[in-house]
Amino acid sequence: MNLAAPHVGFVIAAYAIAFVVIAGMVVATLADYRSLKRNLERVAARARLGRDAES
Amino acid sequence: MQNYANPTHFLRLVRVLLPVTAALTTVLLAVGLYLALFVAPADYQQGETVRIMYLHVPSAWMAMFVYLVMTSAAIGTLVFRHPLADVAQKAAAPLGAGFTFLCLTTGSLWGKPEWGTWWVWDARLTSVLVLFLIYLGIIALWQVIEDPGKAARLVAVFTLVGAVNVPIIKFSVDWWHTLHQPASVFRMGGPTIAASMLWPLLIMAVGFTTLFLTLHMLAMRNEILRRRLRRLSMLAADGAAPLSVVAEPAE
Repeated sequence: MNLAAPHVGFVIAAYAIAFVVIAGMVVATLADYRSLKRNLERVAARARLGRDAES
Repeated sequence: MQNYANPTHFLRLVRVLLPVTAALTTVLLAVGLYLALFVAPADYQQGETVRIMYLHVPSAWMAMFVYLVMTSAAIGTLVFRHPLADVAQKAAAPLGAGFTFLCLTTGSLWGKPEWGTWWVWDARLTSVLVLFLIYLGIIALWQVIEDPGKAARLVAVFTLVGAVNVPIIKFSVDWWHTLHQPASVFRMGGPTIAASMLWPLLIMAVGFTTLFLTLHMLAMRNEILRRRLRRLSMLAADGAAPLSVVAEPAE
């Protein structure tokens, strides 16, 4: 790619936006997974504690 | 196949498939980007700005493909009442919105140097904007209806009604006079693009498709866990959660 060509800034901007959007989708999905897994473990631990206290 | 329609079996399948699709996506996008930026020639008229095509066209295809996936899932929800179809619908919507946003922004960045304007209200651009708004509407519907089963049925109907926009997007350049160019890859008589530009475009398109498949599987896994968490929380509110529910694997 010739970086001195006219309008090359539009090309760089398009690739930068694509990177941000795709990285955003990946990070949001992985962060959601971590948060759900953490919450599930917390609820499961609480349920186990409750059962132990009953017995 | 029927076995994998069970959410727990589906999670096991995801664990096997995810590394494969993730690796495939990384390789395809790396090769596609290298070919698009350093090997494919500049266009004789557009110059370097033609390189936006390698992002814009795959994201436009994905915007429509994701909607077709959602339409199939909507049929699964309404006809078979299958919870995994509900999950597939919900998980796809934000990804479809992301690809459509990418299509609109890269198109705008391509349009300014080529057409002299960021935006024009022609049939192709407007119908893609409508698709983006439909995606946002679907995401909003999922957010405002608390009962996932009820939300799935409502969203499925909305999705099926919105599906009429997909052929409008595809054929808008044939049905109306638009500033947007007509189809140049999937058309009667074969592609009109030179092989040196077509191959990077196809590799990027396959890379975007595997990217969607990877993210969709991840998002479906998240949604299954979210529903499991909701069920557990409701059981916990009623009393202690039974061991069978707590003991279900997280993935």
